[in-house]
Amino acid sequence: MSDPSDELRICPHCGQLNSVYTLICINCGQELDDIFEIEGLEDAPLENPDGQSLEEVLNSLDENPLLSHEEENTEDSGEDSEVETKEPSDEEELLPSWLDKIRQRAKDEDPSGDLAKAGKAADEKRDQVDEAFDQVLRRIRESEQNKAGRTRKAESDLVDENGDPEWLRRIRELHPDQDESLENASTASDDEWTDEELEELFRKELGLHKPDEKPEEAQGEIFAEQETNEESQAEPEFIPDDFHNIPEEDIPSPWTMATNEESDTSEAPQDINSAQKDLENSEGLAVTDEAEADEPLVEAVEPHVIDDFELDDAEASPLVDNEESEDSDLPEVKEAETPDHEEEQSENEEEEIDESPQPTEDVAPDLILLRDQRDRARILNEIISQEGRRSIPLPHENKNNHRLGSVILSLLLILGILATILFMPNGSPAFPNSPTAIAFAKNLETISEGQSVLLVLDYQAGSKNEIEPLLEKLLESLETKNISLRVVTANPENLWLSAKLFAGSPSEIEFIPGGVLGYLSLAVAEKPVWGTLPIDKAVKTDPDIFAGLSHIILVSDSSEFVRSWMEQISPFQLHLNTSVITTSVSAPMLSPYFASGQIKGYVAGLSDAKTLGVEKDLLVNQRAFQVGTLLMILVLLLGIIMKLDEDSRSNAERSTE
Amino acid sequence: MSRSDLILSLAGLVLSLMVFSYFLDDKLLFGLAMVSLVGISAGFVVLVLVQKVLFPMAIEPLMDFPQISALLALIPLILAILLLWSYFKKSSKLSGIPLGLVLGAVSALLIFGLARGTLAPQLLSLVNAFDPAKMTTDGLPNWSGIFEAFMVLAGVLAVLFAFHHPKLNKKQDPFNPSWLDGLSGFGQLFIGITFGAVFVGLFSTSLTALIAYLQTLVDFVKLWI
Repeated sequence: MSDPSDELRICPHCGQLNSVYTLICINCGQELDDIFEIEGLEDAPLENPDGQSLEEVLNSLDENPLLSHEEENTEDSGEDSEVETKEPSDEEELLPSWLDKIRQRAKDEDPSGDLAKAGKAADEKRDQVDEAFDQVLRRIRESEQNKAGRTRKAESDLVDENGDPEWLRRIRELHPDQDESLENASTASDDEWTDEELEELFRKELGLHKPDEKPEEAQGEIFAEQETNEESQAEPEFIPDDFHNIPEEDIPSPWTMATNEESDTSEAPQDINSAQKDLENSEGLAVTDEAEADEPLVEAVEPHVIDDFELDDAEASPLVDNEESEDSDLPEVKEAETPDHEEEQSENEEEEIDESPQPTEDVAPDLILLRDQRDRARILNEIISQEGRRSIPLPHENKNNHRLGSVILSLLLILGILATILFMPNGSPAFPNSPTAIAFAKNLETISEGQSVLLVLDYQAGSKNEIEPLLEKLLESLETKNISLRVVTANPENLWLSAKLFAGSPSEIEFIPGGVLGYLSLAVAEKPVWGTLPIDKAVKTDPDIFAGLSHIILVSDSSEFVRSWMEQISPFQLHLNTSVITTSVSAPMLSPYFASGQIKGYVAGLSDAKTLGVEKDLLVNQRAFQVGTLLMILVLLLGIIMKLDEDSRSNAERSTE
Repeated sequence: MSRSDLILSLAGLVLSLMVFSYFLDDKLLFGLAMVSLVGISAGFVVLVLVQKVLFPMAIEPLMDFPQISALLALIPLILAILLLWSYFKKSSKLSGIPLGLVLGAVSALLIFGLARGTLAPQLLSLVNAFDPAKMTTDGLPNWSGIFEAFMVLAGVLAVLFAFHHPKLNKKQDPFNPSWLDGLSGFGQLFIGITFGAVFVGLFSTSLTALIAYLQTLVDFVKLWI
C-alpha cells in the first residue's frame, strides 16, 4: 500500500478528497476530468481550433490505428514509424491538425513512443477502473439477490419431521395455546387447510415464488454464501433483515419497524466512512481480480451506493419513500457503466426481473426490504391475530360483568322496601280518580237488584295482590244488592286461587274448557234438538251462561284476554255491559276500547283502588310502594345516563377510527 | 294460624329464599324452585283437564252410544288420537288433520274477530270523535273535544305512517327525507308513549307483588318474634 496522501485527489468543484481512480466525486458527483491529463497535452486544447475536449481526444486516440497497434508492434516500432510515414497520404485529410502536431512532437521529443505508451496506459487504467466499478456494482446486486433468495429458500425449505414449515412452527410457538385447537381442527375435518396449502397461500400473500422456481444458479450460491454470512454476522448492518427476524421478536409493530429503520440509517455514515477508507486504501482496486474484490469490497461500496446523497433525508425521515431516493442514484451509477458490460447488465436485469416480482434490479434492496418487512409484518400480525379467534360473538358474553351491579341494585331495592315495611307506618293512597275508574263505578251502580252478572276470572298468582282487593270490594258491593252472580273461568289456576274469595258465597267457580274458544262456543252455539253438545257436559249447571245477563265483569291481568273477549265474544253479546278489573300493566292497552265504548269502564290496580273505596289495610304498604317507585326511578335515570355516556364514548371512538 | 297455613307459609318462605338465591348467581336452588312450580302447575292442570274435560266431554258421551251425541263425541276422540300419533311417528301426515282443523279455525276466528271486534269499532270511534254534538257545548265550540278529536286522528295517521319504511323505496334519496319521514317520527313518538305507559304498569305490578310477598314474609317472621 502506498501513502494515501499520494493517492487522493481533490475535487475541483467541492474540495472533497477522492481516490485517484474515482471517476466521479463521492460528494458532489461531478466528474473528475483531469485524471487523464497527459503531460505535454495541456496546451493541446488551446491549440485545437475545434475546441475538442479531452474525452474526444482520448476517443480519437482509441480509434487511431497507430496507437491501437502500437503495443503489438512495440518490437517493430521502427518499421511502424516508417509505415506511418509512408501512409499519411490516406489519412492526412481526415486527421485533425492537433494530431499531426502530436505525432510531430512524438517524433521530435519521444522517438521511442513513450508518449503513446503513456496514453495507452492511461486508457487501460480507465478501462480497468470502469470494469472494476462495474464488477463492484454487479456483485452488490448479485449478493443482495442471493441474500433475499437465501432467506426465502431457508424459510420455505426448513420443514420439520411433521412437514410443517418454519414460519408455521414459529407462529405456533408464539401461540402455544392455539396450537392444540388448530391441530384438533385440522384432524377433525379433511376440508381444513393443509400445511402445503397454507404455505402456498403464504407465498401468494407475500409475493414469493415457489422454491422449485428458483434458478439453480441462485440456489447454489445461497448455500455457498451461508458460511460467509455466518462470519459476517458480527457486522450487524449487513445481516439480511428481510423476514426471518419477525417471529423472533414478538411481531414488530410499525413503531419498532421505524426504530429499526432509524438504526439502520444511523449506521449508514459509519458505513460510508469505512467505504471511503476502503476505497482510498484499495490501491489495486482497478487491477485486482475477483478474488481480491470479494465481500469486503462489496460491503464497503454498498453504503456508498445506498445513500450517498440521500443520507440526510434518510436520517431526517426514516420512513420516507426510499425508492425515490434510490432512483435518484440511478443515473450516477449508470454513467459509470461502460458499454462493454451493457450486455451482461441487460442479462442480469432480465434474470432479476424473472426472479423477483419487485423492481430490485435498479434499487438497492436493503432499503426496500425495510418497507417490505413492515408490510409482511402487518400481514403476519393479522394472520396471527385471527388465528383461533371466533368470528361470531357469543350471546350474553359479558353477562358476568353486570352481575355485581344487578345484585347490588336488587339488594338495594329489597332492603329499602323491607326497611320501609318494618320502620314506617302504612300510608294511605292519594291517587287521583281516573275517568275509567269513575266510569266503572258508575256502571257498577247501574246494576240493580235482581239482575244477573257474569264474572269471568283470568289472572295469575303474581297479580293476586293487585286484583283481589278490587275483586273483594266488588263482591261486597254485589252482595249487598242481592245480585245473581255466576263465576266462570277458563284458567285452571283460578279454581284454587280464587276459591277463598267465594268460600262464603253461593256462587261456585265453573271451569269452561277451551279458553276463549270455549266461551265462544257457549256464546254462539244454540242448543240442538237432537241432544246436547259435548261442551254442555262440561258445565255443571245451565250451559247457556249468557242467558239473562245484564253485565259482564272481566277480572283479568292480561290485556290479550280482554282483547280476545272483545273481539270474539262481545260481537255476539252486544247487549251486555262489559267492565274490567285489571292490573296497571294492561290499563294502557284497554284505553282504546274504553274510548270506543266497548268497555264501560275499568279499574287498574292500586291507583284505582280509592275509587272503589278499598280500605288501606287490604292494599299493600303504600310507603313501601312509594319508596320502591323512587328507587326504581333513580335506577332508571342512572341507567339512562350510563347508556348515554356509553353511546357517546362509542361514537367518539368510532369517529376517531 | 292453622297447621296447614303454617306449612304453606314455611313452604312459601323456603321457595322465596330459593328464588332470591338467583341474585347470588345460584342456579341449583333457583332451578329447583322453578321446576317445582312448573311441575306442580302441570300436575294440577292435568288433574283438572282429566276431571273436567276428558272424562265429561270425551268418555262420558260414549256411554250413550249409539246416540248422536255419542257419535259426535267420536270425532274429537279420533282427532285426539291422530294428534297423539304424531308423538310416536313424527313423519305421519295423519296428525296434520287435527292441526289443520284447529289452525284453520283459529285463524279464521282471529281475522274475523279482529276486523269486527277491534278495527271496525275503533274506526267508528274515530269518526264519532268528530260528531258535531261532541264538538259543541251549548252552541259554543268545545275546544277540548275538538283538540281531542284532531289529536286522535293525528295519532292514528302518524302511527300508521310509522310503519312506512322509506329504505324499501329505492327511488327515495336517503339524504333528503320526505315529509313522510317526519310524520313517521311523530308516530314513533305515540308508540314510545304507549310503550312507556306499559312499562310503568309492568313496573307497578311487579313492585306491588314484591311488596305484598315481602309483607307476607315479614308478617310470618313476626309470629315467631
